[in-house]
Amino acid sequence: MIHINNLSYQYPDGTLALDSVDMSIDKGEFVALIGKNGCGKTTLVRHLNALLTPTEGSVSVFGMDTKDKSGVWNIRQTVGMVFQNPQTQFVGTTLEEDVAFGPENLKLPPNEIRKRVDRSLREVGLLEYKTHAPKALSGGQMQRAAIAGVLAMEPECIVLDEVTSMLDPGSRGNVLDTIQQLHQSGKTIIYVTQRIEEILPLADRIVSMNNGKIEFMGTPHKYLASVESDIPAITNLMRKLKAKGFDVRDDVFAVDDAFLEILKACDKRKTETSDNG
Amino acid sequence: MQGLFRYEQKETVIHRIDPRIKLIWVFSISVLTITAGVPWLLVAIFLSTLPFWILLRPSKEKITSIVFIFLTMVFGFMLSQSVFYYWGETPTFTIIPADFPVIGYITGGIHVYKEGAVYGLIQSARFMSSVSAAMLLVATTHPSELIAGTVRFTRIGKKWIGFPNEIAFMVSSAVNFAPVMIDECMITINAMQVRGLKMKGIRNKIKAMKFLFFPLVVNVLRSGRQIAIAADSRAFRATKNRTHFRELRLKGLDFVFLSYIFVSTGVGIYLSYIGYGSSVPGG
Repeated sequence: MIHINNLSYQYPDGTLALDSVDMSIDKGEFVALIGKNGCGKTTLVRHLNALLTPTEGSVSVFGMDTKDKSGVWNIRQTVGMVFQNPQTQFVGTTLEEDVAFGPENLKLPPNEIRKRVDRSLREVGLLEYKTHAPKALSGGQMQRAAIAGVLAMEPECIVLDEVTSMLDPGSRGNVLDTIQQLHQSGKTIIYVTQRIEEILPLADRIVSMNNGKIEFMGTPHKYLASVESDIPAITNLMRKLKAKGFDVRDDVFAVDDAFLEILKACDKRKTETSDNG
Repeated sequence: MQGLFRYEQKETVIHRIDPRIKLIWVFSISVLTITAGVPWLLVAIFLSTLPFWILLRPSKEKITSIVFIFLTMVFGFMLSQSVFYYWGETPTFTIIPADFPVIGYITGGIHVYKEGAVYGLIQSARFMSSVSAAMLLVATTHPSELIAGTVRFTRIGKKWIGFPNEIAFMVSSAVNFAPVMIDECMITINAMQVRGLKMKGIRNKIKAMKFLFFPLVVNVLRSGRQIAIAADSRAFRATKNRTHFRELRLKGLDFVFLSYIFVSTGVGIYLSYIGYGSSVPGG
């Protein structure tokens, strides 16, 4: 679906933000892009819907080269983007008007726009707020409304750039639930984050970046096996248990999985103790 | 005072009127206030806006604010015009005589003219009528409808006549962004206060503006850029004539109100034509 070949990008001030990046994203995949501030995550995802075009190399979305200006609007319809700050992405004075903004730009007939607005707002659980002003919503609701605005354009792929970084834990959970539902409905998700623990249970693949380069690409379990620090608290606990001699996996990140692993290890210990006794 | 030009979500007859018809009404009131020249006709034009206020039923606070504003207008215009009325011939009384040292010599004397006060009353009635109609328009029309009405005022063939979409985008973004900007402004002020900036007294407040200006401008530019990127990523300006999910169609009530506008404007202009119109003061 998306092919990135030898992508390099240099900002006008000379900063090399991306350096020879190669990767492909399949249809329906959930890719988490992680890395420290300034490592090039946002620059990379802005290439996916032609907000930026490569200084070197190429980005192709469903066979459309992002450098080809004639295909820009098709690319933006295919790859939707939700940004970090929910307050600076609203262009409508009411929620439904904001969600309608994209389909209106695509010149869809009014009845089709109405259908898409209602469907998108229903999908993110905000249909009852459709006549509200965006500023009347909470941070989490605003971010879900921004997702609805992208959904109304019916993209194949949704890029979410640190969408939970300004939210409280409750709102973060709601937004993540919405994203998970979208993925289950078949959408390709590219999720940029610094919170590794929130994305491990959801992602099919982790892409870790550093200094404009990809330094790791693989499954969440392989990623955890490859890192020493910056790991979820659960994984840290499992590693400590393993170091104390408990027979547990140390690449676990979900509470339920950890609970089962610990129970199994305790049972095993009990059996071993009674056998020895 | 802040609520004077704010939309009030209610279910009144005037809320149901098409925004374009209400825009025509405000325009017709403004035209009539220019063409009419006698106090009773101008008062009648102002009074013609009052039934719509009764339909709207604004809060007591809003009525108090409006009355205060209007009375300030009336007295302000009357006072300034009675003193600075250029065409006055016989002063009603004199504040500073022409032979008074310095000020008298420079100004030629400061006199109060009765004709000036009447002219001020006329001018204030003109202003009040237009302001009253404009306040009603804003109070009964949601910003999104108002923007839609200005962008798609009328249609010739397949082309909409009105403000460009870019202007509408700018206005609606500004409506959304204003509260965010105020919040950011308050955060910057608080951040500076905790680092010792004094805000008491006018002099300190003016000094604080110096420190507030640059962070605010940088924030506005940064946020403006983010809004532009968000709009771009949602295909803004992908097509020349974008469609609109909210269709504007005139209904029976709109035609009734339009007829009222035509009749009242016609009568007003006719009265102005037959001798009740405005003329150059003193002419």
